Amino acid sequence: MSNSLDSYLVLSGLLFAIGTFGFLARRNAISMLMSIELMLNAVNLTIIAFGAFVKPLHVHASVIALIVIAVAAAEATVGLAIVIAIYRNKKTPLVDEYDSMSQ
Amino acid sequence: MTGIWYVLGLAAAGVGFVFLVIGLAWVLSHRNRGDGDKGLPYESGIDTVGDTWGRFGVSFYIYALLFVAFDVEVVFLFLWAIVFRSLLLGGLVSMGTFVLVLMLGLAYAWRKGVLTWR
Amino acid sequence: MNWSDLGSLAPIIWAVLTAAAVLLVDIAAPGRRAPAIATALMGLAVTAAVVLSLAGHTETAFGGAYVVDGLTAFLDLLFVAIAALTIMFADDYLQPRGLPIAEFAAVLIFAITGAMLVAGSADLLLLFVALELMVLPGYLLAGYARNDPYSTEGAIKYFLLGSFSSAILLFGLAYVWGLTGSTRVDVVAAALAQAAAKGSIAPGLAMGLAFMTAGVAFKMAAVPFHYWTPDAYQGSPTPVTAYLSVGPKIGAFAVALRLFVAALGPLKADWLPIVIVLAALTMTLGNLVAITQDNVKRMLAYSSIAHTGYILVGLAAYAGGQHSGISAILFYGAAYTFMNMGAFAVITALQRRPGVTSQISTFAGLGRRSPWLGALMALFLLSLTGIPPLAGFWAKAYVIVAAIQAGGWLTALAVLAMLNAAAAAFYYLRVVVYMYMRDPAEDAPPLSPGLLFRVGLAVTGIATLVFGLFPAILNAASSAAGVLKG
Repeated sequence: MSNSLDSYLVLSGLLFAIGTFGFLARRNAISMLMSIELMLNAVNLTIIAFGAFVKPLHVHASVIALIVIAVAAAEATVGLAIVIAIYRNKKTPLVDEYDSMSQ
Repeated sequence: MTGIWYVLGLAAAGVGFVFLVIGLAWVLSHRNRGDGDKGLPYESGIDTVGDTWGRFGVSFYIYALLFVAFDVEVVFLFLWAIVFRSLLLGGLVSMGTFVLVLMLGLAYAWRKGVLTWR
Repeated sequence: MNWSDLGSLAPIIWAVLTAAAVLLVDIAAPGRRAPAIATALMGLAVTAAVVLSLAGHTETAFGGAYVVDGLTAFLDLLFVAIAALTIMFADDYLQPRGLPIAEFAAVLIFAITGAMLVAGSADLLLLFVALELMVLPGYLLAGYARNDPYSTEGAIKYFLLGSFSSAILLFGLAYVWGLTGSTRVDVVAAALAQAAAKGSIAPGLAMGLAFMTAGVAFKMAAVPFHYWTPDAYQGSPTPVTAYLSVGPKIGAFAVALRLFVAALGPLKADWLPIVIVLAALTMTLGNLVAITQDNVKRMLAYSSIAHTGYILVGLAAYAGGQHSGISAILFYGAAYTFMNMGAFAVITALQRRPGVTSQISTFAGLGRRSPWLGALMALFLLSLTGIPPLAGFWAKAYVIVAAIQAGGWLTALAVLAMLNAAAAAFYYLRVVVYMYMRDPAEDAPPLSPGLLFRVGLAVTGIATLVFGLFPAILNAASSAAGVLKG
């Protein structure tokens, strides 16, 4: 089933699953951020795959993918700024040590 | 009813692949147990200084953040440039507004002294 | 591009201009607080006037991606009010801690711009971008006190789970778009109606819809997608908590109205059970955990989860065929905005001196220390409980009545909502007991909120009272706005 829409959807589904797993399993805030970026890129692959194999979606796909890239960049910027702020306060990037509020 | 199979297959393959990767990582990462010298980056060279997780000066970070933000916004300029001729005045005004808003952000960062090297 | 489209977008353009003006004022006069606040409030007033001038119109712009209708106008006004109140309350908290107000106001107004864009979007992609524009500044606001470990800790939890849910929402969006062939809400609705008529919906499409539902549930903090809420709310600077508890929450419900009602309308019967279960879990768990809290901010965070549950009852009533569920949601959103922001404002007044915690012991003797603040806090808490004749009573009443009229399983849900309201009285009234039955701490200094703060507090108090005594005023507005096709 090479070079079909389904194979690309399976691939992007795998990437999304890896990203989800990384987000849930990692303790490091930066790794979690990277996992989220991987999830967003998996979505982009889904979008491009639909665009490449479904003719009427061809133009939309590029526009949507570019907008997703821009949103992902904005998200990464905000996220890194927050990670740096908390690193200055706590001196650790490990999220399970951010527990000063749980009772 | 091929649709349901493709969802099930996608789910199974997704879950399976994750465990496959973890399994491989586990198998591979236990190879060097018991032999400390084999784990060194250079077995017969000069010992490395500091650990692998050495850190860089944090004063880079605001540049890096600003770069990421402004760098990626440029993608919209490419789209605009491709169809520039057919957009006429409206396209020019829209993109001018867009760049103006971006410049306001840059001007604010500049005024706040973020761009001064410390 | 069509120039007349810009007319429909005028409120959003004014909001962006306001934020830009605040930044320009701060560039011209760095660190000056009064000019920045004045610019922000005047700009928001102009934005509100522009929204009102468009009210009553129904038009679409940008090829159908953006709509101006009653719902847009109602939500826009509510969001502008939220921003204005937050700015009024913020300076009393930020100034003693040496935090700048201009950036706060600008970031807040950008967030509100996103919320306003959500309110009017009739396109899934625009909905996603607007949602991101609403939540990204929210993460920054949560971590605004960047040297305070609690604030940054709340911010990172809010950010990580928020972005995770955005990615899930987007994944669902990609499948819905790919399999229906459009991001336009009406085209998606038509495709779904066709699928529903055939009696089978493609598995990929069903998966996409499920992912989108989960993403929206995260954003509105419905159980079991609520983990980020308590820490984000407790850690944030108190005026930011006031904003987060209403702005993004009502924004998420705006997404739900545009998505569930307009796009998924044809599948109502299919998602009704999901919404019923979400609503029941959300209000029950929120209330049960709120009872055990000793920190008032954290307690209000859990109670806001419970209120999400009550609002979901309205959505369930709509899915059950009762159209008044939508106007009940809008009434609830507006009433909740004023009473909840008022309650957080009183906490802000107590915390004006840095170092004061939001533990319940801080409230001991507030009724004697400061009779006005005590009375207002009691008013807000009674309204949150749902005691007549306050705004919160009518909010709950409309939602519950809509659910009972829909009948079936919704009657059981309505009964559960009433039981929950009774249980909630316990933890709200506990604070009132502390305020009036306990002696204040010996060293408690007098409380002296600023002028702007008093104005904002008066607005929330009067709104809670007036909407309670004359619910018809707000009900007329929410009913006019709640006329959605779908």
